[in-house]
Amino acid sequence: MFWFNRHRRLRDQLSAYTDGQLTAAETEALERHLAACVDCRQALEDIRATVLALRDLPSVEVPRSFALRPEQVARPARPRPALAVPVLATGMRLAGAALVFALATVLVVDLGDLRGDSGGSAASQAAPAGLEASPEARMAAPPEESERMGVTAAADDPATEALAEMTPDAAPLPAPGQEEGEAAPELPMPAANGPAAAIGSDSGLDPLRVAEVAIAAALALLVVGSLTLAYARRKV
Amino acid sequence: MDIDEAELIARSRQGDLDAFNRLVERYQRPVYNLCLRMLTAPQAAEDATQDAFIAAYRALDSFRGGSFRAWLFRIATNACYDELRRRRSRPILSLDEPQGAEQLPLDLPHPGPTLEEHAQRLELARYLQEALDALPVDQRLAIVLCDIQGFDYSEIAEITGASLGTVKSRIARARLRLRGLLTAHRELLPPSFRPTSEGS
Repeated sequence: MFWFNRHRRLRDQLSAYTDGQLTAAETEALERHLAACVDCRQALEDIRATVLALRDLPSVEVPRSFALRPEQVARPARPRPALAVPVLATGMRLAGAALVFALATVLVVDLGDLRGDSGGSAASQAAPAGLEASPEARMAAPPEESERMGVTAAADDPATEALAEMTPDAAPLPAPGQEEGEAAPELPMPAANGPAAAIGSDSGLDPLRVAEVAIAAALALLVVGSLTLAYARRKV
Repeated sequence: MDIDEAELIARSRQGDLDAFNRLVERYQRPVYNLCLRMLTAPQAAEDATQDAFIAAYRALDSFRGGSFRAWLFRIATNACYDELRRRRSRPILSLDEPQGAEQLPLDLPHPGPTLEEHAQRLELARYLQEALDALPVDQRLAIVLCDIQGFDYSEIAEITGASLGTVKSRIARARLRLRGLLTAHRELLPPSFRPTSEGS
């Protein structure tokens, strides 16, 4: 039984032996076994004959050239860089929401201001509109300064900016706000201090009004933009 | 890998299709023969060969040096497996398509001195192909790469993604099976290959 197991194990190595894939020790053990085992000698002969027959198999000529033609390896054309419609639509929706929120805020402040009225300090008007103005700035800023800040903040509203980036038509939009914003500080400048605020609000350059107009204009442009986009999408 | 081949590979990588086609010319015959031995049907072998070269051209960036021939054969092996998988998924077609060894376009470059010897060699080749077809795919691949294409064990391990021990045992089992089939048709073997039977 022991001999038979050994015989089988060694016989399984005959193939590797044919290819010279055994270690020196394995080779020696196998050769000793071969000298004593007729079956294994026969099996080795058969394996060698099989290998020779396979090696002698004629190589078949290719039926045609497999050289590649350019069209076979052309990369699939990249999809046309279509405008990222979903991204654009989402951006517009977000910008719209931001603008509506900004408009609501300005209106609320404006209405509250009308009710509480009085020539009201420009600072208290401008501060809420300029949402980004820090409390310190609100406190410290002289009226002209807060006015300017209020207007600038409105013009710099991220939504407005986003819109300006998205629709080329929107580019002129911030301009009126900015122009007025630039104009606004200039007016009160010559007349320093207290009266300046009154003059500023009387002359119709109330930053709240400016902000309202600017935001409303931005919203209108956004609506036009959305409609254009919707039309373009339907066409595509 | 000789300098010339390295140069051709480098140029192919940069999109030089002519350079790649020189590599194709160099290897198309062994690659086609591998596919033919694996798939038997000439048309399927032709398709697999073409697919392999297209895939190789596209995958050139993944060639990290070493034996280009082994790398190419790995891709060709995958193309053969793809074809065999397709065949399995619609086996009904294989009944209609003649795929037997009798379809092999045998073309012997050096016919034996006598017509009879030539005919005998053809018959042996056909018989061997049938015997190869009867082997499990993994064993067939191992023995085709080893005994027909002349790769060594470590290269076969690299091409097939199997361990050295697995390669060794696949080759051993394949030879054992073929041996059984061949000894049953000893008369087909040329005298020089004929195993010496005990006592003769």
